[in-house]
Amino acid sequence: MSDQSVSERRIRPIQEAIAGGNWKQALQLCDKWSKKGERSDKFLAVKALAFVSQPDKSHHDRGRQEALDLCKRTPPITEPEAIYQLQSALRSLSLQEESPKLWERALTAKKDDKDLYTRWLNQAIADNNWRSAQKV
Amino acid sequence: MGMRNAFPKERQYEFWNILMCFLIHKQEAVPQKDRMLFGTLAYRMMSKAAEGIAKDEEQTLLSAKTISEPEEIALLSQIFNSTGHVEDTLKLLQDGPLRIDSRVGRKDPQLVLSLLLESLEASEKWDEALTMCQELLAKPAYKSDDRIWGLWLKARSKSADQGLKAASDDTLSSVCGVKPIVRPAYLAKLRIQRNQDVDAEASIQAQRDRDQNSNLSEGKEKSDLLHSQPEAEIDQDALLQTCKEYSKAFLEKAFCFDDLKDSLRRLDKAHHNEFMRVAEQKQGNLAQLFTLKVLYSSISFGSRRPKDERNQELLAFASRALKLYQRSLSEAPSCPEAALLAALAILHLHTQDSQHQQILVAITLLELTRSKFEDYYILTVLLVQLQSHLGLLSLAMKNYTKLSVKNMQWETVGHLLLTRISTLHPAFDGAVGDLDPFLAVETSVTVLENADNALIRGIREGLRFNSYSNIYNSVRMRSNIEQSLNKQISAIEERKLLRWRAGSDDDSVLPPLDLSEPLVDKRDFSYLPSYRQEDRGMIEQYSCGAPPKEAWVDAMTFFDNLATYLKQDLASHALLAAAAYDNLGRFHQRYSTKTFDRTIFEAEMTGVELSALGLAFSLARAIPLINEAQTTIQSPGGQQSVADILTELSSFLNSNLNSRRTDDESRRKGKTASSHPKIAGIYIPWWKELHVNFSQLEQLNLISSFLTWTSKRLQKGGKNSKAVFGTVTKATISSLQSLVTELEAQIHADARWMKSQINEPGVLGKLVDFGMARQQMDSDSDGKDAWIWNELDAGEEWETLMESLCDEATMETICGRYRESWDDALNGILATKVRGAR
Repeated sequence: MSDQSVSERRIRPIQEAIAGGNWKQALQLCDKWSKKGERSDKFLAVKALAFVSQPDKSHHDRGRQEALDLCKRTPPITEPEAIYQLQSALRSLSLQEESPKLWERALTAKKDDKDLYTRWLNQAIADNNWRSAQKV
Repeated sequence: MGMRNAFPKERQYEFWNILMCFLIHKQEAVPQKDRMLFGTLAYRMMSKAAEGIAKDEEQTLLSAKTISEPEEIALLSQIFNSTGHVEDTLKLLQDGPLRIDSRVGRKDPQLVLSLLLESLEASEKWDEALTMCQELLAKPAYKSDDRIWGLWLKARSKSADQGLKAASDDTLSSVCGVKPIVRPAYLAKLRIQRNQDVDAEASIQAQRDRDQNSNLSEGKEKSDLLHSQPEAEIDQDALLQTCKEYSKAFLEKAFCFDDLKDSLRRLDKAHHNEFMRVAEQKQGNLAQLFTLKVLYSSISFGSRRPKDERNQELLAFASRALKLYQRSLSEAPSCPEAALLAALAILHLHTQDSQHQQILVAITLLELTRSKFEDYYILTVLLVQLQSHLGLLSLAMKNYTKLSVKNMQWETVGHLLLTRISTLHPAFDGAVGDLDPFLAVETSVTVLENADNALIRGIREGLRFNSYSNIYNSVRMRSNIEQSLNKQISAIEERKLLRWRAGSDDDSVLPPLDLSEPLVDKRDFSYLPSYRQEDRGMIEQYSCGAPPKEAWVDAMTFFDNLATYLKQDLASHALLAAAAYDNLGRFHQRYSTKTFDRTIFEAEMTGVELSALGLAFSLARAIPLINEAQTTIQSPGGQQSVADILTELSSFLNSNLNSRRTDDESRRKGKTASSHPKIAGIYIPWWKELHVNFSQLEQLNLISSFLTWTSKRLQKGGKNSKAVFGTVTKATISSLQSLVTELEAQIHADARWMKSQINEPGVLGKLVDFGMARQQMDSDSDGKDAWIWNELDAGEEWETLMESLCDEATMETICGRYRESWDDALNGILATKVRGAR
């Protein structure tokens, strides 16, 4: 529990920097917490998003690779907040059609998690993606 | 569906799955083959759910897959009917396990009845539908159900079975004999007696909508399907009798005239006169109001009728209507609608003054009425439209706020004020009670965006509470909002307004329209009064230009991308500039193909908007020439160089400047151009004047940015620079900048002249005299014939009437407000500066 709240405390300023378009600050914070051993799924997803959002190619490409690696990771990411961050990264990469697979993979690891199902369904409804909704 | 497999005991997941399959089937973006597949899947699963109940109706529902709620019947009906299995729906709903009196049907018989009627109509089995309606109408509980009467009428007109038709006539006679009279039965009787089937009426309505949307003017011939019906077949006596009976029962109801107007139009003169004779005998304000509506709708507008005769009849009508209105103020019930009718009659007057004076008379009558009846919606809507037309924009904005427009009304009603607002009233002086135009268009866009969120919530709630019947409608509404024409128009207006605001920092590029998907037009014009067919066309003339549609949006998006490119490139915002430049390339490619028809713009754009588009075409040719270091580019008139385009620009500026200078010269000599409208001998800045001025200033802003941009490129030089720019020098650009400054100064000088006209001593007195309908005795420079009351020879009666309606002080306050509003509009022009030129 305490680990989670520590992660949250570290991640929030990164998210705020991304929202405010302060790319440099977002990257600095990512580097800082990465060096301190932060490895939570949400952090990794936020970091990928921060890199993907960079205007320069090298950072952008690094973010793309990190995001795609997280999408394919085994065991899959099951934390909803991390999935949302990865969805944002996929949107920035114009790969939003890959988003439903994140939920699908998460549910192979947590077969009876009603909350995950509901979140997936809600996302599919918001995206007007009835094919994805039907799979839920 | 994972959820269904993971939680097999939760029955709603079964229906969620069926619903999702159905929604995939209805989604146009999904490939046709997949849509068919999911449609079949939904149908099969739903059939299985229905089979369960067929076998097991009387037992407690043990199976999770069995239909047990009315909402599930609605889902079944939706799926079956849209996958071509309407007969299966009928089997289940008519005599099957889902009929109205079944165990499930009894839970919501009204819903099941609606589904049954819809399915009967969809099946097009008219004999069966008529029989079912007959059976239902025989039961007292359903006698007044207009859903049944609607289908009964349609089925009766389509059925070929004479026996059934005869039986239906008996049913009609029997229900029409019931006292108090049954409204839907009488409406059906009226429709039959005027020989109209339901489809014909629907096509008439569709034609009216098309006429209204196609912005036909009153003078043009309108197709009138009503009158194309064979009159001889109508039993005039019978129709008159039904009209009499109906009006006797509902005379005092607001709907009475609307219900009767089509029938009354089908009566011949003798029978119509007879109806009028009876109606005139009725006492009481509401009865007289009804009579006035009938009278108004029967005034002959035939082209052969002498103009004066028609004007006198209209004036006499307006006078009578105003007297009723005035009397109703002291003797309840009140009749503000009578004043609205009077205003409409005034607007229909055919005078020589380009119809501006009579608009002010109508506005004054509406203003007087609105001050006493603030919540009279339709009156305020008309008032806002007329005030906008006459250039009284700040007053129109104030009155618009009284409409308390909210939610989707921003789309349905908002357009009546916000169309072209950026070139009518872009400035906002922050006065208390005024509506900031920027805030208004911004709200218009955000309301739709928020509506999307509300619909998403609605769909989620619908699933949670197993209420399936509205989910598909919500999904369709989301798609309509996504493709909303009005949202596109408002977004363009928002960006145009933002460009005028100092310190604006927009960091987006307007994407071009996806022409493969049609926009959805939800603008509603039916909020405007329509007592007779000519009303819509007449009111439409008093809008501020033709209603914009796809072509307008496309052209304005092009213009916007041009302005964005120049702004962002000058500010060295490379990403935004590149995106806008990319869009410009796509526009240029599409517009320069031989098959592209530029005349599509003419129906939707005003003259000055077309001129702005021409300018944008020129500039959009020059930019790639300079950027890509080319010497010439293809244009409609052949190959063009940068120098050619700048010469074209110079002609454009000089032509506008000369035209304004000629007008200015004439004014100095005491003459004025006939294009300037006059009211009570005073020149007023009506919508066109404002629209042209603001649009030209907008064009100058664009030209100025372009010249600054070109100058920088010229200065930078670079590869092939000499060949690209040819004879263009710094001096060429500087002289064009001077022309921009001169034209801007002239526009402001013209506005100042107009201001001086509005604020001259004696103007208020003239307006008050005009408002009070006083005959003008002494001639002004244009002769006393220019005074509408002289032309109409309205006489002292009208003057006396106005005096009884309004005292001099009130009229002075109203006219003072007009003057302030025109002054405010002109201040808006003076406050609008070409920033790029500085």
